[in-house]
Amino acid sequence: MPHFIRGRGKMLAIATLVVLLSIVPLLGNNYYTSVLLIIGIHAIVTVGLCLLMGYTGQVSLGHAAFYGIGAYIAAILSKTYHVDPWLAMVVAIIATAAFAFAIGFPVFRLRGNYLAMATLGLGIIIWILFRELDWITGGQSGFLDIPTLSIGGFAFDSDFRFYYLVWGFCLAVMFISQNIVGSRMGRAMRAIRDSESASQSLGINATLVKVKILALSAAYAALAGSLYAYYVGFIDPPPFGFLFSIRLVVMAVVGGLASIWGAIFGAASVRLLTEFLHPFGDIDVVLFGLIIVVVMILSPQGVIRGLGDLWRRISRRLTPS
Amino acid sequence: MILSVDHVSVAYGKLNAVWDVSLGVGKGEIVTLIGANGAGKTTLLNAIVGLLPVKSGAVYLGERNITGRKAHKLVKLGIGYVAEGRGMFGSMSVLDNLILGAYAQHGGWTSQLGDATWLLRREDLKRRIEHVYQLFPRLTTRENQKAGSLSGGEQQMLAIGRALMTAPKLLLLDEPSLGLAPNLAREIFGLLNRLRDDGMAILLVEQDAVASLRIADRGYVMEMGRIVIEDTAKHLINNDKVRQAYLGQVWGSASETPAQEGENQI
Repeated sequence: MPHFIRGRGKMLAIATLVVLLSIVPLLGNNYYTSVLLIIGIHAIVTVGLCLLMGYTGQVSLGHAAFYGIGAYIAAILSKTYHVDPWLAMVVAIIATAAFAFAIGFPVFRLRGNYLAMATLGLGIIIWILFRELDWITGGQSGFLDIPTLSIGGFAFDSDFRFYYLVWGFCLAVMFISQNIVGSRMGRAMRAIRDSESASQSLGINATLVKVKILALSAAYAALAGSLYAYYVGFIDPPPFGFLFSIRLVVMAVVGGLASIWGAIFGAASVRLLTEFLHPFGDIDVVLFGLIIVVVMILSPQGVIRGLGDLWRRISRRLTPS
Repeated sequence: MILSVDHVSVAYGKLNAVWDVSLGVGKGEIVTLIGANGAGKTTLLNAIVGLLPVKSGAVYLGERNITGRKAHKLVKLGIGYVAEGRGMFGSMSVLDNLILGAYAQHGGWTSQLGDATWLLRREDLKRRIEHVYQLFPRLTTRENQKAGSLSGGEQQMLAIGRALMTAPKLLLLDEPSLGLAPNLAREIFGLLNRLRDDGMAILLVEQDAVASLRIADRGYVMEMGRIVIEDTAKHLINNDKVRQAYLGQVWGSASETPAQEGENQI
């Protein structure tokens, strides 16, 4: 049996998730559908970040840049150059992955805090480019009237339809990632995280593995970015800035850095919290900082794992020994 | 010679840590490198296995010049390295650590496919893992335990076992007895003896000079980045200068017992 559905509990949880997800839009409330849709998009990016940070141990504080590059390439190709949106999406994914692959080699000469600073700087540079290259990107006034995806005559032009598209992609990304984590590549990733020099003296090309995972996570981000552009139909620089990079890290941490399925939980918690805190402006960033600190102290493996441990402890106490 | 180090210097930036060092290790031979902290032993090992760049000089594996090759490429050529501090993959199981030891042996494009190929090569893997378990029966019972939860001695066994999974011709060990109880250290040294008898070339860096000179065939003494004495292990152990500096035998007494215990407690 493939390892990603080993364990009945996990299988049950995933089945429940799939059923729940498919029911929601049938309830007919557009607001929840759109919130859950955005959660799906963010979960795709978060999974990539989990592969990079949680499994391979490499920090990225600039992942919003890849998300943005994907969105802008898809938007510009499909609108300005009238490329088919699906093709534009594929090009966006490949181009973003190639870009990440190329910058990966110099960037991964750095480690730890320096790596964090470099990715942070990279994210800011890309964001400034979105803002300043206004003859291509529309600058601060944004990029309007992006066409949407369609198959034959069937257009994904409602929240209801787009919802299934996004979660279809999201689940596919989850399964691919879970498979990678359990493979030889996944073992190499964890080896690099635990001890890079030891991994090298066993024949693992640590730099290449890190660069490949960066490229893969950039590809996920670009997929999510182009879905976002097609869904909203309008993009401008703010959603692709530094704050979103931080938010992505929060999603990954809350869901559990080394947990693929936790990414959905992380993306959902952060998104819902943002919705609730909307009236208070940017104060959510402060709260997110606090959340990271609390999660890292109380349950460094993520909230889900933490709740699971808590449950086990309580049930052990309740059963008479 | 399986390993020949030819006039090698290694530097950290502008600071030279190893000066013009030459040494060799032959098949079925244990060669030990002793010296005080900071003498450049670990730096030299790291340069040999490609984790640090060689500034000048050359390193040969057999006839092949391997100077400047990256660490991950040397594994396939037959160099196994047990680094100081063991380099455990602490969050992974003992079995996963061992499987990773065989990583380089299956590096073709098919390996990218993941689990399907892992099934194909399982027989071969199993044989190697069995071999390691024979050498270290204690690891068998720990198979599914996380490597980080093992005791120091068990971690050292796992580190050596993992290096043996790479099927090396040449094994380099950096302070394998560090932090181990004397009986565990003896067990490790006994194993090195057996590996030597099987024809492996072993370069052993040790602080416990007595123990390492006892099992070694030849030895080099390093000081301030240079090799200052080179001789057979038997001669070195009786060399007055060596005794004074590394064996704690200031009075030149014939008994080595107190010194050995003192070293082991470090």
